[in-house]
Amino acid sequence: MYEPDEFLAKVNDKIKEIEADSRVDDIKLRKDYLELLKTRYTEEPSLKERLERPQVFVSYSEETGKEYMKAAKTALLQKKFKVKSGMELDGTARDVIKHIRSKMKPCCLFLGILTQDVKLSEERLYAPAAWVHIETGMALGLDLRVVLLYHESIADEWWKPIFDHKRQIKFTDKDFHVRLQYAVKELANEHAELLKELRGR
Amino acid sequence: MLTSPHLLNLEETRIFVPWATGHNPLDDRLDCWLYHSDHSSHDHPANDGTNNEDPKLAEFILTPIQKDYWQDVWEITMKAAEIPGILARLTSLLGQEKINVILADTITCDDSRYHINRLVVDCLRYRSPIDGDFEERRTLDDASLDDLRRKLIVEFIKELHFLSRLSPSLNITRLPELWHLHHIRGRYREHRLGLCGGTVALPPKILSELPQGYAKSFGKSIHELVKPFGLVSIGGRLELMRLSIVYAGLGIVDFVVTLENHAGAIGRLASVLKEKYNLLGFRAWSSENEARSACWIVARSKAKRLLPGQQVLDKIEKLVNGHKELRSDRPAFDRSVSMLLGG
Repeated sequence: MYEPDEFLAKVNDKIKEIEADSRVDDIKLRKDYLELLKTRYTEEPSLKERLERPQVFVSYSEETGKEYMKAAKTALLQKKFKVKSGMELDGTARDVIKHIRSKMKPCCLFLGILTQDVKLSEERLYAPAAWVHIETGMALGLDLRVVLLYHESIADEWWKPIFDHKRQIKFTDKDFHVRLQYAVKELANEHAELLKELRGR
Repeated sequence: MLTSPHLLNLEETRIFVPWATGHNPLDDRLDCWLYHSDHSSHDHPANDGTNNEDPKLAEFILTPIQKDYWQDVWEITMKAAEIPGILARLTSLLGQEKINVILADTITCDDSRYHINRLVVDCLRYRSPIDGDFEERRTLDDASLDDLRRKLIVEFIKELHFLSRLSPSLNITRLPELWHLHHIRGRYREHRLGLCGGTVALPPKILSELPQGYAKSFGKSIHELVKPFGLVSIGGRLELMRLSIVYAGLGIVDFVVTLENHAGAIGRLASVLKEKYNLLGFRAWSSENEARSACWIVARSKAKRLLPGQQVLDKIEKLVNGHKELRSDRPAFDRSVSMLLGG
C-alpha cells in the first residue's frame, strides 16, 4: 500500500476527505481516531516497551554478508529476538538514513557483521562495508547495546580503534556458526542486563 | 480454546464439520484435511512407541486449512457500512500486500446497514517493516499484524463501525490453535477427506487399526473395544476440530450428574472425581429453571487394571452418591445416557 513515511500523509489525506464528505457519520469520532493513530505512530517507544519485545538491528553488507545475515536471523529468532535491518529501501542517502533510524529506534540491541567488502592493498586484508560502520555509529548514538562479529581478514584499523571497548567476536570461514552462537549469547546477556537495570530503577 | 465437547459413534455417525453449513451446495466442495501425529516407530497414532504408564489417546485434527499454512494463518474481521464494493476493496488491498484469502464469510446485518466480513488469510508472502516476514512470524509466539491493521483502518475509516470511541470493528488475530499445533507436534500424517452434506467419515483403515494400536499401548486385557467413539471438540474458531478416539474398554465412560445449583457445587464434584478419574470431557449447564446444574462428564479411570465400562460406572456412582463432600449438593447420578455403554 505505502511506505512508512507515506502513512502520515495518507492519514492527513483521509482526515481532509472525511471533513469534505457530508455522508460520513460520526465525523468527529473518526477524525479523533485518525489523530490517535498518528500520535501512536510517531511516538517513541519507551525503554520498557523496547525491552519487553526485544528487537535486534542487524547490520551487514548486501554484497558479502547476505548468507551470514540469514544465519544470524534464524539464530536470533530462535532466541525470540525480533530482527530488523536497514535494507529494502531505494532512494536518496537522506531517505536511507531516515529509514534506518526509524527501523533502529524500536531496537535495544545491535549486531554488526563485518565481512570482506573492499580488498586492501595489504595481502589478504579487507575493509568492511561503509554502511556497517555508519549503522554501528548510529546504534551507539541511540544507546543500543552493540556486539560485532568480524571476519578474521578484516584489517585491525577498520574495527579496533572504534570498537575495541565493545563486545567483538572474530570468525573465520569455518567457524561462523559457532561464533554466531557466542554473539547471540552476548546479545542475550546484554538484554538481561538492560532488563535488570530497568527493574533496578 | 476449545468448545462444545461431545461424543460421536464413529461407526454409525458421520462427523459434521463446523466450517460447513449442511445446507449449502458449496459444502461438498470444501476442503477437509485430517491430521494425526506421525509416530515413526508404529503405524498407530495410539501408540507412541514407549512403555509409558499413562498411554495417550489417539487424537486427530480436522481442518479445512492445509498444514503448510498453519504457521502464518490469520483471521481478519471487519464490520463496516453496507456499501457496494467494500468486500472487493478489502480483498484487493490484501492482494496488493500478497495476502491470500483462504476462507471468506461475509453477511449483511443490522437491517442491511452494516456488513460483517470474516476472512481467514495466509500471510506467507506478506512482509512489512513492522509486522516482519513469514520467517519472523512463524517463530514468534507474540507476532502481530498491527501494521496491516492500522493501514486497513485508515483505508476504511469512513465506513467502519465503531464499538466505542477507541474500538473500530476491525481486528486481525492469528489462528493460535493451528500455530500452536505446528509447534508442539513435529510431523503429521495427512489425509484428504471428501465431504458429503458437510460431513465426513474417518477412513476405515484408521478405524480398523486403532484397536491394535491401543492394545499395544494399554496391554492385552482390553474389554469392549467394539465401537470406536470420537470425543469431539471444536476449536475457539470454526477451522479446527479435535477428535480423540475412545472406547469404553479403555476404562472410559460418560454419564450425567445433576446437582443443586449453588456456588462451588461443580467444583466439589470435579474435586471428588479427580482423585480416581481423569476428566476427559466436561460440560455443565443450568437445568430445571436454574434450580439444578447438569454436568455431562467423560471420565477415564486411573486404575492400573483396565475395567469393563459397567464396573467403572458402578464405582463412580457409588463415589458420587456416597461422598460426604457432595451431600449438601444432592447429586443425582444418571447412567442411562451413557453413549459409550449403549445408553
